[in-house]
Amino acid sequence: MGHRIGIVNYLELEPKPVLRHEVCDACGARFWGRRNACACCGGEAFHVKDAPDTGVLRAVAFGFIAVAEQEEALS
Amino acid sequence: MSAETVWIVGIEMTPFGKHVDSDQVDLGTRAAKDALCDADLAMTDIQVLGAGTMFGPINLGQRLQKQLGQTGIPVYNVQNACATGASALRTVYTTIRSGEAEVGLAVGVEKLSTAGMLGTGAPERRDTGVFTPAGRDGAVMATEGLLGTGTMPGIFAQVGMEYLGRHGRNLVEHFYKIAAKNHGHSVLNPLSHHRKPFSIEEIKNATTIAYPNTVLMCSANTDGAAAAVLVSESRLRRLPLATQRRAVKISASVLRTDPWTPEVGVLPDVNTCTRQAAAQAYELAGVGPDDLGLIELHDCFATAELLHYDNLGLFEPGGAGDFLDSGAPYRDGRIPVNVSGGLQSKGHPIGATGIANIYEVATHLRGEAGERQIAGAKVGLTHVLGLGSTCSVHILERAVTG
Repeated sequence: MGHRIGIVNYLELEPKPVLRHEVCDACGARFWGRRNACACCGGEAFHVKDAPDTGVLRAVAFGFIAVAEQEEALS
Repeated sequence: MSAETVWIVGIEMTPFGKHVDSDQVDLGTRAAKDALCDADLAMTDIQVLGAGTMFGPINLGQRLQKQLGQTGIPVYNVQNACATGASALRTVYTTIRSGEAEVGLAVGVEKLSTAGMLGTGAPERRDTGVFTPAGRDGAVMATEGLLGTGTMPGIFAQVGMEYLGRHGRNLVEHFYKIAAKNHGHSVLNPLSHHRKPFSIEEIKNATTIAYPNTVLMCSANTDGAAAAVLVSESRLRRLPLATQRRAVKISASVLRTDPWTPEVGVLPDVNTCTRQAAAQAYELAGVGPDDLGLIELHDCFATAELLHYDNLGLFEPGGAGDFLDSGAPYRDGRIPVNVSGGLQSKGHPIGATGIANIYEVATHLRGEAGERQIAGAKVGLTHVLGLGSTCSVHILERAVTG
């Protein structure tokens, strides 16, 4: 098998796939991806923490792109 | 010194639809001229111009001035997602409230009839087989559909289903009913892009865009413009009595953005800013939901309308489906919602939408809505939500001048 790379830099695949949060040192707010400052408290120091690998699925979207049909459907 | 009340004395919109031979400047100029005519004022009376477009030309306001009159007044060009038009109007409103101007013009315009789906998330990147991290998150390829979705249909499908998950007595069928209601309402609106009623079965069985929203439950891509002339209280009292009688009071003009919430990193929050904007608007206007004679809210998708019944505080949290089933938001109901046909049927030319919503409510408050008139409407609310998110709520009241 070839080398595996995450689609974004906050997804690590080795040794076990995990999403990694940037966590604000001051208030504990969690974010995905590179931060300049905390959107919750303005703090500028962060540490990295693994996100939980269990949770509750609250919403999902199934998309079928058919925009060209809109005019026809409404006419 | 307290800030003066601001009044609408002229407001018009173009018919929404396909305007093949008109560009944004043509449409905006037409709406502006009609609004000035409605106010019986001239461009030389205008002391500030707010011009909103999301995808139109840069410096729209200056381009409009070149057709309307270059009088040297300040111009604010506004882009604020689906709240663009409302934000342009609010820019004029705040300028008048500050005392810097007595009379202002707000214009919103968009051409979208040939646009495809909006908000496709991360920019497209060709996958060449070489995966090099790029951008803020070090993405090695386009993430749309692989790592969530940035598409409008996808997001509004999710927020709708999330509401059903939180409040179990609401059903997918409620979304279909909302689309049927709005398409039914538009039949009476000569300015609506589409004026064809659809049954719940037709809506349910139409092509699915992002479940549960079918093509008949999505806002219609449309061309159009809307414009409003605003004046201060003291200026209003110097205008003819006929103008004063038709004036519409802006009792509240509110603009909010998302406060930070833990969930927003996963799914945009379309609820909190609307809840906060509505609460602030009710407080400023000194009215409550029970005082409202009609509402024009941001039904960019049928799912969104159900959420916003709740976000506008029209009942206890979780009761959106019950509210709909009671008949309240139909044109003969207790609080008619989107009697214009809404974004799903009237259309959604983004930069114009926020002013067009205000046009609709103002026209009812003036008693000039013709066949679709909501009898006795004295107070109305408009709401727009731009994903990202930003929300504007306006509360309007009929003039009480003799």
